Amino acid sequence: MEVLAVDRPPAPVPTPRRALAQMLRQAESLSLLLQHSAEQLLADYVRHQGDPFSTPSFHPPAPLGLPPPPRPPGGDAERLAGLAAAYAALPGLLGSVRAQQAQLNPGAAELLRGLEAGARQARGLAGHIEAVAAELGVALPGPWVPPDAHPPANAFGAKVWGYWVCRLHRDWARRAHEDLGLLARRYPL
Amino acid sequence: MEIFVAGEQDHQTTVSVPAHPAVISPQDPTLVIGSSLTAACTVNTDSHLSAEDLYWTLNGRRLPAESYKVLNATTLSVALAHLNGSKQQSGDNLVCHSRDGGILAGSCLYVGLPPEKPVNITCWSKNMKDLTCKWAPGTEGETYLHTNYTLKYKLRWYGRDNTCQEYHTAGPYSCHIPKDLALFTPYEIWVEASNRLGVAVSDVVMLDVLDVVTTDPPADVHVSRVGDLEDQLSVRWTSPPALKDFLFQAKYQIQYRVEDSSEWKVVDDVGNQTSCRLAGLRPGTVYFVQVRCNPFGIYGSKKSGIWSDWSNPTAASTPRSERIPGVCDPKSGEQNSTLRRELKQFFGWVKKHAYGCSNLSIKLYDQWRVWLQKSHKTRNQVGSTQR
Repeated sequence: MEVLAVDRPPAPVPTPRRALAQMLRQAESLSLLLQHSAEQLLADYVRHQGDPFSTPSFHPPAPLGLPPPPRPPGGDAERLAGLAAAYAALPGLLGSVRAQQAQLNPGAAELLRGLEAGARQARGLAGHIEAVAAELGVALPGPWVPPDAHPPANAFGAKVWGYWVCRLHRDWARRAHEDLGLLARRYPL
Repeated sequence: MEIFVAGEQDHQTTVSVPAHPAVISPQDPTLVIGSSLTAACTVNTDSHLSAEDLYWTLNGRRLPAESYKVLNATTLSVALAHLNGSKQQSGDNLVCHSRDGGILAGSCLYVGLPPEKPVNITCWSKNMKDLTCKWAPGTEGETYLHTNYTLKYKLRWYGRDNTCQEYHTAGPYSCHIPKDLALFTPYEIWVEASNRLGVAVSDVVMLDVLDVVTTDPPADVHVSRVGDLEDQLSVRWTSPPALKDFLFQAKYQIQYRVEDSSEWKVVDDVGNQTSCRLAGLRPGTVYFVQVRCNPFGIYGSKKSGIWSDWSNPTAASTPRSERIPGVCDPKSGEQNSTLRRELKQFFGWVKKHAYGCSNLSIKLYDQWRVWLQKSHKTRNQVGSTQR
């Protein structure tokens, strides 16, 4: 008796891989939105603080107590860990800046809304990053613990502090879009 | 102590600087326009800087060295005279720099004027359910400092002060009280303006909510011909639904205009009827008509209420007799071709919009003229609210 070989159709993409690919697509889209709104937020912020905040050469010393800016990228696990640490901190920091700006610029309704929206989007992205890391089996660092609190000494200090938070928000949004885009290409749909 | 001096995204430099390399005194002062200020920048002894290494900027502009004074080895002062109002509400940025441009410390200056007494408080109640008040910020207005306005109210003979919560509902200087208002009892209402330089309180306005009632425009406004009368139109409406049981003495006003004109004529003596006949009109002419209501005399109030908005325009045309001499004589076919073009457009519109309508009536023609008028937006002006 001859045994005939049967051509079996290719196995469908396993569900977890598809779920990961979809998660990455969504996270990448959110990071693009975040990048655009973070750029706009920084521009609005410096405009409301007045010169020299909006001059291109403006570069005050970074205050203590903020998370570090993005470092040169490493492997996937390092990228995710970096993003997770930043986005654990940024929502709360943006919320604090909003509270300070409500005192300094109470009439700047658009700026205050932008800070609220930034905090909300950052929180959303934090959730996506955690889910992607869990799917990939990447262990994330614990929650960000700020060093000993150094509240701004005066109004100018509060302006500088908020400037750095908005700048970190922008820089990390750019990095998130790069990293999540890279991961999305590694795990296509 | 080491801190990160964050540069571009991929660069980091670690430098050793004191946590606060310098301190400016005074911090965040508030000043009246035209006043002078002397500020001092004292560098931390750990920073290895001296007073000679420093300079000042105000809102990004370098201040002249002639205004500086070295007070001691580590302190440089600057004298600012005749200060102008702050450039931004968050305060002017007075910054102490090291020779290389680095920012060592800053202080925000708040330069402005105390608030003026708010004036012209006017209030209205929509259908006796709420109260909205607006005011003007005083004769000068611009204080250069953020000025907060609080509207307060209390019942005249008893009760505590209440504070209005919903601001900017009818413009930047307005507030809305949505509920829990007493009728037949006067309220005292006033506005407090406050900023970093002081407080100013308006005069107190006293009012009874029933004396400042306004309502929605009259509903179901219909305009129709009066038989064959060429110079008349009949206007009918119903009283605004929310107050229809209370409007025994309400007053109404009608305004009307011809189709091609922006000039409204007002009929003032309509009284509290809900119909009126317009006379002395032009034959064969389309008219737009609006009606508004003043809920005067609610619960026996002796004061005029506040006029509602005008109703949406309603249109109708007066008839034209076919045999009026000298009026309808066609002029060498020019009027005919215009009318024909118009009718052609009209029948095209009927075919598209009046489904199953076999009886062409002059009403449809009126409706079409209204539609045509509305499609030329610049010519269709809705009457404005007068308060």
